[in-house]
Amino acid sequence: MNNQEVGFVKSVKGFLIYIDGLPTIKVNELVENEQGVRGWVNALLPNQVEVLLLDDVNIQPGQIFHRAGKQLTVSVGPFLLGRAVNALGIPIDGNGNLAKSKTTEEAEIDRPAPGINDREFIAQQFMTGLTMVDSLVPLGKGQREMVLGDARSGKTTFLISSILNQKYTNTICIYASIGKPITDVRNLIDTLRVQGALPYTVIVAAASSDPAPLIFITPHTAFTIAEYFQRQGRDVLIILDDIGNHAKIHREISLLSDRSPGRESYPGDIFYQHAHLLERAGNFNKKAGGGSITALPVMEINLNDFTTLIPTNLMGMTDGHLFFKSALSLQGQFPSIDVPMSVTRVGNQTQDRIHNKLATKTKTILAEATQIETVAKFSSELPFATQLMLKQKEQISELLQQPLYTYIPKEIQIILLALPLTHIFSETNKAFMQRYKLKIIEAFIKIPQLSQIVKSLNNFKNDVELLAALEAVGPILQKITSEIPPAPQPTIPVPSTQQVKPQPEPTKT
Amino acid sequence: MEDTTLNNLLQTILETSFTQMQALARLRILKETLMAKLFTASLAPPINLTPSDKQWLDGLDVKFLDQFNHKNFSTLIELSEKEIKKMPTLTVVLPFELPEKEARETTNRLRNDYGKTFLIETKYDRSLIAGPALIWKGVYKDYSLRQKIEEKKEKLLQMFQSSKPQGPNPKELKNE
Repeated sequence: MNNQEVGFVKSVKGFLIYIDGLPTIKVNELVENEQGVRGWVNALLPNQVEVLLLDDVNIQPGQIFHRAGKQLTVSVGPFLLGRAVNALGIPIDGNGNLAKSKTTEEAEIDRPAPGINDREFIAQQFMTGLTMVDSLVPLGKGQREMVLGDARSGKTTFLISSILNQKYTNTICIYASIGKPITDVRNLIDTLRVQGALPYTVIVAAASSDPAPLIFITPHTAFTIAEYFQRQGRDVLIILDDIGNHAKIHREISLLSDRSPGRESYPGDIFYQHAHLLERAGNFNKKAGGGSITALPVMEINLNDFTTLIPTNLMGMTDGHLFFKSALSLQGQFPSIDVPMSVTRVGNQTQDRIHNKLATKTKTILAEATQIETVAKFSSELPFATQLMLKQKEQISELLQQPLYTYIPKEIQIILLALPLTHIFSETNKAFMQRYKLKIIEAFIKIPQLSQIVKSLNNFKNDVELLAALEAVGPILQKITSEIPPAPQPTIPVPSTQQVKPQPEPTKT
Repeated sequence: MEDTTLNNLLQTILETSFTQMQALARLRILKETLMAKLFTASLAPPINLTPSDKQWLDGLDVKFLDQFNHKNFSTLIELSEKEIKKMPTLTVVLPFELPEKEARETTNRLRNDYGKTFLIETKYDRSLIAGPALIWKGVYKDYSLRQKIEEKKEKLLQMFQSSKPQGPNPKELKNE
């Protein structure tokens, strides 16, 4: 400690300590005491230094803290893949220490975002493997898309599916669990391990029982790890689950440190805290390492109310949002996304031409059919065109759904979007699609005449040519869907019409 | 005139106060005494004084107390409090607790050599082994034996490794 700057603890407020001394300390620097307890400088007051304690220890006034001479850093490297760490980079999955070496990079967790000179136009689509998202609300690599919805609306299931489907796209996934219960973190690790997603995933977790400063820096650590892989030229998906908890922790810290509360008691810099985090996502040019960081900040809302401060803030700093509804989730729809209420501002420019055209037509049908659906219920006879549109809507709705944790390649998605626009299944309904959807997908993968269309999608000049090609193979599809015997109908037991004979009375002895 | 009075006040308090807490305590005692003297003395609550505080108070010059009046009293006290809180503190870290007499002599020596424009705090850290460490303006200066050992650690280890063992051979002793 000789010749180091030191300071004395003047007062303690839980995880916040105020130190007198440390004359030339800067914000975001680390301080330590002799027992190795670390603190992170949060603010410089006129006569004191405000420090957030990173270790859950009781500090007494009068203790000495010295300047550690460095910013808060975390070790980054390929050894993080498949591991779960806390916000300080310490493993929490019980699988031993990280395989670090002497040359392991130590990256600062609070770095400024790269400037415009390091960025590139977002031109590649980010595939989640879910038809509904990839077709109707497409994402681009480097986009920031908020995931918004009530509790139990299917957000986490969607996120896990997206992570699982990245095994087909060579994308690194970083999942930041911010202030969730420890059981949820454990369940997530187990799910990813069982589904084989851990080898390309890093989990950064701060449980709700962890100290508030640790929860606060969790997304910073996650982005630092993401930036490491991005600089290696990799595409990275980062999920911040959820950013509302992060806002609440920031509010707690700010109120404890006597900052003036603003709207909904959040501090005035709440927008900055999230904006400067999300700015670190993007699509980067070779000079900046290449690669991309696609960010999915999650926001849990109450009763579909997205007009409060944090959701509206996030809408202003993201490139769109996916709106999840618990009503759709309860109906069994997966993903339970309300497509008309969802927005993507960047993804459409990344879609293939044909995919984009089919998606536009699909959205038009869905919108128009929804409008006339209510009126149609009161009409006795509907025009043929209206009936066709309503049937198409049913088929499309069914084709957009998919089982949990399944992956549908982009080519198959295009085929599924095109099928309702042909006349092949114009006489069928939703139940038909429900029964034969998987068989149809299998047919387009296995049967040569059908898989040929899938392989030559890039050769079609427009969607009309694709539809014509599908019409030509319509008889094959009709034959396939007629070969499977119909599912046995459950029989309802018919009550017996025979009279019940009275039982003889027991004889007395 | 007020500057002179303020300087006199600070000098008087710092004459026998070494730490910030002592200085502020003496200032509080003076404030309560002056409030009793200048304002409603009969209604003022009795001031609880330790023997040393009483001795200090009794030792104050009458002319010193006469400098205060209704107009300048609160201003002077406030300014003195601010000045005391602004004063730099020299923290002396020792490996053992000094007896009171030696502690007072040490602090007086420091005051005589370096003036009365700073306060002195004493802390204890047994790991220093011997010698002091000083903390001045936020910088820690270690002059203790622990630091010396730390600096010469490599050399000391080499000396221990290379030194030959002194005394009789244990095997020879066993044979005898």
